[in-house]
Amino acid sequence: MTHDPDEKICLLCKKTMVKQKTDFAYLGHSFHTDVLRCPDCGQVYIPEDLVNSRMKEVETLLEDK
Amino acid sequence: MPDSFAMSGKQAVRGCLRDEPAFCTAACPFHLDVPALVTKIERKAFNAAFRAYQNAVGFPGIVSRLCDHPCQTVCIRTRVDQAVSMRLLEQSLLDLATRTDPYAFNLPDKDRRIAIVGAGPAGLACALGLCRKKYDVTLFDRQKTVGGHLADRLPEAVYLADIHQQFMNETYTLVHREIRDLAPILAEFDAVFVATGAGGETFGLVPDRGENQAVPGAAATACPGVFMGGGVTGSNTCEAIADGLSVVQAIEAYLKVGRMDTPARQRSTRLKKDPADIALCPATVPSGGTAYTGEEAVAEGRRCVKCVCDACLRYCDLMGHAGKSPKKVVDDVEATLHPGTLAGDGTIAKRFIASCTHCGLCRTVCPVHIDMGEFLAVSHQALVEKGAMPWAFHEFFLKDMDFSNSGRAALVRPPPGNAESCKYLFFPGCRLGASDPRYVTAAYEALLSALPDTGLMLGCCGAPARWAGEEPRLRDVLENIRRQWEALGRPALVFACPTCRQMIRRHLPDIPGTFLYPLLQDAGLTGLIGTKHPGPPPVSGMESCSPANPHENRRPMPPFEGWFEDRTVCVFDPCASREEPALQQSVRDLVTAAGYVLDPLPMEKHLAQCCSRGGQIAVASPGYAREIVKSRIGQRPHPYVTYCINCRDIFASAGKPAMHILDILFTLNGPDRPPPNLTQQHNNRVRLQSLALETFWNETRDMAQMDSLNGIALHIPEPVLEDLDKKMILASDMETVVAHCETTGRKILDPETGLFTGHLKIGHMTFWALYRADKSRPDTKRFELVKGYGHRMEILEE
Repeated sequence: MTHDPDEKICLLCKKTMVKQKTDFAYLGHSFHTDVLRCPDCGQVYIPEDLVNSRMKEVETLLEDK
Repeated sequence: MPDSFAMSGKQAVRGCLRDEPAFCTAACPFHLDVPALVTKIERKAFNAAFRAYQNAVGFPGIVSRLCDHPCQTVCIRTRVDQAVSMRLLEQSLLDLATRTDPYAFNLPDKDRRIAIVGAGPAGLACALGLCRKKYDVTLFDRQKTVGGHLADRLPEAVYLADIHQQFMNETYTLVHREIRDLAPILAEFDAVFVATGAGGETFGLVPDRGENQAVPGAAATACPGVFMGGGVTGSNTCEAIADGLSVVQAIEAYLKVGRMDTPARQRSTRLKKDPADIALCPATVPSGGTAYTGEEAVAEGRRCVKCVCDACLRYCDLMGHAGKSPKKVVDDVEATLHPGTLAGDGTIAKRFIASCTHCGLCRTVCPVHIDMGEFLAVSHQALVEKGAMPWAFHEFFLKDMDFSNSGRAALVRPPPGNAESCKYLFFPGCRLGASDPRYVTAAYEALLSALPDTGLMLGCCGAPARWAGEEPRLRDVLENIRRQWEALGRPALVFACPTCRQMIRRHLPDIPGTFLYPLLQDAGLTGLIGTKHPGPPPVSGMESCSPANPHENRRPMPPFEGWFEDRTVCVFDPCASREEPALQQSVRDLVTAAGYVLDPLPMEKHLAQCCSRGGQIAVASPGYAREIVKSRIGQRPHPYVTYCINCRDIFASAGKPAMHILDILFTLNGPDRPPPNLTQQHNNRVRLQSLALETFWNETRDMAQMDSLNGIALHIPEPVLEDLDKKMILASDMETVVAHCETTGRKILDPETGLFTGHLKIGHMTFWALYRADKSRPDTKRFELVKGYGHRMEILEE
């Protein structure tokens, strides 16, 4: 059996995670983006690629703002 | 704003010499910007240089011949070799420039009439300046021709040629009449400039040269609208021309706003310059005898030092790196503290403020001792209190400080035995034992043998809180130190770390203290390690939390021969030692006594620089921190010996052979010892506490009771640990995340790889762990970390 390489399963709810709008906050600013979440409990999955790219950029931007 | 924010930016930089004119410029009657002019000459821009000269002196042909060049008298080069020859450079410019005609300005005529009494050098200069601004100028002179006393000093053809050339685009009215009474002129003209020459008519007016308090304006007299300058006020020929040019501004101010108080030009400078910094460079000899060729002018121009106060920019890495003078720094910092944007968030200097290492070198090298480090520290604190400083810049270090002062790493004990107080208290600081616990145990053992009445205090001095601008946290740490110090009978502290010494002296000045190294030197107490309580080498990896046998590895380390053939080393003075000359000498004596040869670093002793650890700038400005390290370790090829463990470990992490002085005194480590990673530093502190208790007080601490990971064990392979270290993530953070995931079940499965992912917010940071179960023992709670990462953003709506 092959799996979708992007598939992630929330082990708490045994549900396949789906992309959903998620809110983030840093240094008094808030913003949102779509990331994988559990449709039941809302647990979020953020891969390291996202942390090192867009999230890092926004963090630096806000620190220098 | 903190209470201590009494020092405004302007106060902080009061007296800054950055904008003071060069000595030559201040002495020049024309206030000629000599350094700027010479810079143009250096790049062979002779036309531009001539234009700058022409604009400043009005009549370049006359001035270049008649000026007695006071600039050369005050040139700082006279204290080294010979003054830069402005006389020859100016004369050469007349030949080297190919475009010497003045510009013609297409301005509308102004309907204000100005009378100039006297068509000598001052009157002509004033007329030139006013004509160029298109005022209606009338020159009165008893002679039929212009020039006045120039006729006594230069051939008529020479000075008239210059005058005609400079006036080639201008028109004025010349009236051949001797003026005996100003009243009729005043009725006819809007302003009058009296330039009747040496011994000339003053019309009963008193000329002002700055001393007359009643009429303090430049060239002003007591009569409104009447100005006076040139030979009649005592000026020589070139000063008279300068008077005539400078009075134009005063006259124009009077015409526009009716005021006579235009400030006189600054004739002095507060600039300070050390001739010792100037390399010898003999004067250029003109091959033609009276003027330079282009190449010779360039060579002579290069001799100019371009005197400006730039000590802070040359010595301070931060100001030099950013190219910002103190005044610019103050402007940026104040704009950051009081942002002008509607949202109130337009801050520009946050990262700059958080990038100061607080080494104090700016204050040391500044001729007027401006302390930008202190200004930035106070500004940092103000930003923290406003909630405007990103927490991420300092959170790791503050957590590290808290850990050092927690029950897992801190320790305060009177000397072994039954004493409840002590005369001395060894305070090695939190970093020494984090690098290698044996530094502390060996030094304490040596201290006890000479000064048995010495207690031990393991913990942090609070420097990270000061650097982070966290005043309340700093106060807590200091109060705790004071409480413990008082409980032990107010002993004298024995410091191993110059930063700790500096912190206690600054914040707890009534606590007496001394340094470990002179004590060891005086008592002849070196080389004792290996005789009684050597302790194990520093730990590494996760397994290090359990106490090891302190009696293993008792074997003394071999001498350091072979690491460096000629035994030459450089002592790297920590920045906090800058005002501790006795300590600096003591360390040098100890290193020399151990058989090493010293090669002095260019920046040592009172010029000691920070290794990059100060201010804990590594998160705010990692690239800048790396640049600092690079510049420090590149100063000399020999191994460095330091007496701050941060310097040693930072240099070692950049590949520089470096030893702590205790490595030499107790034969502990060689100069190529890799520095401990962040997790090892934590674990070494835990190890030090248990090692000290076991070694000196014969007590054992049960480490198992201190862990609360619900029996979950996480194995972190070495490459993964290295990766975590680069990301400034501790193994303990990853253990906490995995324990949280396994306890709550909140974890994510990747069906493709079978790996688990989970996260947890610890402090402000959110950490993620990618891990797998130990396949060899699936029924246990053993896991292996595959990767860890973290972010500063907070995830909402969970």
